Amino acid sequence: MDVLLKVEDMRKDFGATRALAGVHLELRRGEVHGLVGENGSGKSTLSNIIAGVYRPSGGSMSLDGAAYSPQSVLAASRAGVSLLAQETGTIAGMSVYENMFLGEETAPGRGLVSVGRLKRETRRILDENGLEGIDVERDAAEYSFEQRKMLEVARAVAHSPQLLIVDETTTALSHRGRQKIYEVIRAMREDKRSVIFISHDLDEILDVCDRVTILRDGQYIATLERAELEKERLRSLMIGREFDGVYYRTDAGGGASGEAALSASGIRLDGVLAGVSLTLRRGEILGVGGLTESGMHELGKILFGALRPDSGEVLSASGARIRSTLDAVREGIAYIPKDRDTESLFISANIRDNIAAASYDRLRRGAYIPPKAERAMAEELAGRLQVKMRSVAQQLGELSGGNKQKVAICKWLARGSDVFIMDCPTRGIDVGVKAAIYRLMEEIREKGGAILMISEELTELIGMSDRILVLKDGALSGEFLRADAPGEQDIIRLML
Amino acid sequence: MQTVIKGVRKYILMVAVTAILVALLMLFAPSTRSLSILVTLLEQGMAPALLGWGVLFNIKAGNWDFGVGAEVLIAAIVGGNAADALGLGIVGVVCCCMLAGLAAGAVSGLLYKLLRVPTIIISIALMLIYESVCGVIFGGRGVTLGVEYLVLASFPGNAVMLLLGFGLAWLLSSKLKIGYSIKAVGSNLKVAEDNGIDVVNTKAAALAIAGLFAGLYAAVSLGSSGVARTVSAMGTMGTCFNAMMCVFIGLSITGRGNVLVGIYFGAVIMQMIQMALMVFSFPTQYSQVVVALFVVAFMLASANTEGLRRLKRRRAAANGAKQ
Repeated sequence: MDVLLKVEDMRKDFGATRALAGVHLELRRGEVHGLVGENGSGKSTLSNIIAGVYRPSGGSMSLDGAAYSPQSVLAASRAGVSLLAQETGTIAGMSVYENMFLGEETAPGRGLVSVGRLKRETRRILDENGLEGIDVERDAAEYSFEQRKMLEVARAVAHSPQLLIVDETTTALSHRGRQKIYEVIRAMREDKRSVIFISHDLDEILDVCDRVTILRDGQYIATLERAELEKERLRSLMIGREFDGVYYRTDAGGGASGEAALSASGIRLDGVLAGVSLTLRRGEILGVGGLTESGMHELGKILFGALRPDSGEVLSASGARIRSTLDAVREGIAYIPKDRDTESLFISANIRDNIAAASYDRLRRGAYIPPKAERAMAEELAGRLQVKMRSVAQQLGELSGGNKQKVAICKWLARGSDVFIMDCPTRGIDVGVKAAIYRLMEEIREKGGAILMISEELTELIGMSDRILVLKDGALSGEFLRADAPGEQDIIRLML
Repeated sequence: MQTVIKGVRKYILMVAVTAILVALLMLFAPSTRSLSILVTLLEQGMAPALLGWGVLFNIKAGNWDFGVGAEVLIAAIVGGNAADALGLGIVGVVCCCMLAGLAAGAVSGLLYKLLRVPTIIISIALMLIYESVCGVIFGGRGVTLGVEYLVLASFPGNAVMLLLGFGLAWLLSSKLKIGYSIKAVGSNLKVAEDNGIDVVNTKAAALAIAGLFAGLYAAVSLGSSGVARTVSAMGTMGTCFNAMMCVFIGLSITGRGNVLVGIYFGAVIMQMIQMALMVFSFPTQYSQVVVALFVVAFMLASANTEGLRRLKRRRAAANGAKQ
């Protein structure tokens, strides 16, 4: 077998935390190699080392038979390794063409930057990737999350890498965005180039990958050949025990009271929402589905007061108008955004501060915040949701995606919120944490709370919701009750 | 034709805001209604714009550098005395001041790189050190140049210096890699780092570049007045803040145009405000308050542009609903 990349005995420590403990990986030329594991298993750490983001604490790598130890992303890129990261990789405030050539503005052997060349090259790259509608001179921030991700795809592919690492990129994308990335992966394979594909979506892994390596707690567990790939087997290797397979609710629903927990009427936002009205009731999980661009994510922000609509109003259970996030928080409404790292959490603060962030007015004794009470509250919540951590004093940025999401939920539970707006609550989260979040949602519902869940995963919408609202082009296109037992096709028909 | 229209659109905001303010000044203060006053305003904006361009690199890189005023002082005293002693003429003054400013800025960058202490702390420490050093070197006399050096206060000397500074700033920000790296680091440090940009070196380079422009500003000051006196107890902060205000006003009126041009217009507006205060005999103790209020007003208008657009849309929607 023609081996492109060989990783041997790879180790990485972050302070006292061992993220990788002697991992090995062999990547063949022309292969799409899946990398799976629970949150915190070391997948992203390994891919970041291969892509030159992190320096390893031990171990070695070879690329194309030669020793390989990139000192920077640029060095890795020059060696033919590109990374499509989980987080946003474009910079707001910089134009599309500036983002396209970030760190590589000058042509080889040239000292001066030719803006004309950058614009022309960017235009060519975008056109080749079907992104004709993007203006190279406009600020990247003016485009949606998905369009920016597509820019990153185009940037990565433009370097004609011999190895492309796709780290949990697809889960945040719509069907169309995913298809684009699959196209790129197929072209790489046909061209005898290789891909490391990281995803929590095991169906996707089974569809896309030739072989799969499983990591657990920073350790190598196994590599399965195509013929050995089976969903249940992958799951049990990932979590180290047999998975009982029960993800979603098994009840028939119908426990909602008549009492409105949150209602919206005539919500309009220029070019995004066209008069949406809805009522979320206590004891209900209300699913909202649609394409990424349907306006459902903006609707979530509007319901929480984080985005002001052009017209329409949002009312809390007490009838108070929600015009700002402060109004929402005062009324016991919680919001878990899709982009948790930038919109929900303080990455550079510790877990305690993050959990306490929304509850200082509850903790304070006069002007004084007792540290003991703050710590006790954080420990109680983190313990209840089983956040994997050293202590609540650990920096939040060191946690895996799933554990960060648990902290985001802890923050609102600490405040005693019982009306939740959850935007893609299980995005980029492994099976174990996913199941834990679903159980928590059920618990909130059973206690008379209410959850409005915006989701791009149809199985999640069908499996967890009492009611599903479908949004198409900013307007409601249909509604399903749990009792109707809608199928994926029923919902898709209303989405498109 | 399309290109011309596009170009006009880019610069119309900054030109219009400046023109309206000048028109208001002339309307309410008849003594200012002359072409020479207009020319004076345009000329007086040149020197602050030079320092503003330097400060811009720091702001873009996410540095807080309160030491540029002290760098101006030390560049003027060291550069001016050196050029005078060597008999290098005005070109020598410009070169020596720029070198001295660059060196002062480079020390700031080097310290940041070595100590990894926030730039605000480094810059305040260095400001105190530079001010003290200026009080010791050359007998604490500062610098005094002869009349033969005073050629940068008026045309064409001032215009040449403005063009030199503009060219330098444009080269650094638009034609050299460092300009793009500075913008990337200041906008999103993590993404910049993940794309192979050396964040520490880039921030250090921005500090050095600000020093270079401090030197240029020092040369223009010397070439205009011929004198630079020592200052102590953070007295150089005023120079630094004035430059920052030019940048803030400039950023708020730039729109889609070139920010360097915007900063020049920002500097002209600052001079105009100060002229207005003088013309209306405003008590000097309150003049800084008025300047500060103007800066806040500009920033407010700039920050709420989206809010104003939304209000417009809402009104249009409401009108549509009525019909």
